[in-house]
Amino acid sequence: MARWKVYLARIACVLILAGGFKPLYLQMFTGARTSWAAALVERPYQKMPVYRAFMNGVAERTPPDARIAIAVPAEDPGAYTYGFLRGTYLLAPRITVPLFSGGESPTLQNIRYAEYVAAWHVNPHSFGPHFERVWSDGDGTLLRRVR
Amino acid sequence: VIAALTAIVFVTACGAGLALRVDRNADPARWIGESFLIGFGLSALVLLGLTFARVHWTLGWFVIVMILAGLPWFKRLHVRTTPLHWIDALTLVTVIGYVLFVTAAAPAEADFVSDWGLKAKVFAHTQGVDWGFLRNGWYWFALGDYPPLVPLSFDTIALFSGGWDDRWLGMINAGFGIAALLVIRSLAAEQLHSKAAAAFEAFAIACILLTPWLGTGDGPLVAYMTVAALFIRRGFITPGAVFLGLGALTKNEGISFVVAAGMAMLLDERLRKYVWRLWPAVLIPAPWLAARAIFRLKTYLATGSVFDRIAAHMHDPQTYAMLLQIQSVGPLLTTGVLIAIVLAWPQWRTKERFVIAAIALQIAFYVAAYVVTPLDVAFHIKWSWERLVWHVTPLLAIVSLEAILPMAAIRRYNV
Repeated sequence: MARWKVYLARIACVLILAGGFKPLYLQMFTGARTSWAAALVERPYQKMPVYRAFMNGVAERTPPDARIAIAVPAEDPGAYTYGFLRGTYLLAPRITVPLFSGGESPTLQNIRYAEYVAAWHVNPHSFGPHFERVWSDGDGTLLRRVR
Repeated sequence: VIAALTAIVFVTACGAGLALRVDRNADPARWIGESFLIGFGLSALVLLGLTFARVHWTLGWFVIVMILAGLPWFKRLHVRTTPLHWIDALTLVTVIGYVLFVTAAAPAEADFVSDWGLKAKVFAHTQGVDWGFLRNGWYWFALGDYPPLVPLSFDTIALFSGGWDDRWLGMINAGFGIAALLVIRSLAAEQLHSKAAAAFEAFAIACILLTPWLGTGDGPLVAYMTVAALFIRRGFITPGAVFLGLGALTKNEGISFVVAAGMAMLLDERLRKYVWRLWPAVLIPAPWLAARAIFRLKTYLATGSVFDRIAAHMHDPQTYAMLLQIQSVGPLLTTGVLIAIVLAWPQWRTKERFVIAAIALQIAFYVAAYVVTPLDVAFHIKWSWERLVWHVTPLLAIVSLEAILPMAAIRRYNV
């Protein structure tokens, strides 16, 4: 075996080792783990700060078989889906009802399926007289169907 | 954390008998790794079976059926020692760091919230697979057609926890990564006939194998795919087929890898005649595939007209350049693998035909999925390509190392 091949093989081994190495895992032995944990808790909701706290409040005030419409600001379907799917996880096993059909503007058609509305940064009065206010945390309001 | 650890120990113990039957040559470390990988496959099938039998999931039922399913397979373990090397201590430190990483908080990946974790949480509350939820078009992001092994693994922990608590679900990621590492370390020792080289290989690929995507199916899939391909490459078809099947029960990409591995075996003269022995890879995901057909769970890649979608995507073909632009594998690792391929090309060409073909076919399937996707191509590539490439990266790194480690260890050479 030629010497250069042996050295090149050794270099390749070191490159594979170094290329795959993740310093983050070793940082977990330091105080970095605490800040990493804090960042992780809010990471799925980083575009909607305090959304998690609001939805947890909704979950505390609704039965597990409730049907809850999720109303969040929706400039486009992607923005609505961001809030809807995260709300669905936090409220599961409650049935969440989408208020955005994927068209150009939000639709309230599905509201007929909902017993509750979790309205986050959305005017709660826009749902008319059929719903009454149950609870509010300043960022969002939980409404319940009255008729 | 105690509930999660208890679940992992119990499920691993229930998989131990089957692991002994599947791989008779395992040393204790490899046996433990295989027991975990098989145990969580068994637990997923048991929970699926209880749903089919219309039995609500309870810890009692689960424990009874798992013991009945796992116990009869036990036989005597031929105790062999696993020779260790000081480099293994470095791997251990890396693994402990990873365990601290995955248990820092509940999984936070967007896919965990929208898919893997959501399904598991719904199933945990309904005490069974909720077909109505999976079929509901409102929850299209939950990918109802996706194989259920990972959500059902979370539900196994939920059963032992007495309810849904996502805080310690990262333990599942840790378990799959460590289990695969134990198997790979053992296979490397046999392949390389050197405990130093095997220990170096395990250390080098530890961070590649221990994936950072917590709470998604990618870590478990990487574990199953890598281990399956390594067994088949060595000619151990039965364990390879079992792990292929468990990969197919983990993600749709695992199903495509069964096809890729089968086709790759046909392209390898040494393995061609054993293709029929891949039947466990078809049998294991069969209950899920049958349920998927019976309950008409939609596969998003198959919605609407495929030809219309292809035509639409071809209006903007430059989007596909993103496949080359997104750097999923770093330049050091890429350079190392390329050097290994060039240095040991005769060996790759003659002995690694199966691995090369399996990886190439799997990547081809992924690219084809981007061609027919109903999603926005740029969005789809941006959010998945890095993870998809990683499915085959550990396998490529391992085979590369095993090609060049014997060269690198030579002390006498021609000047």
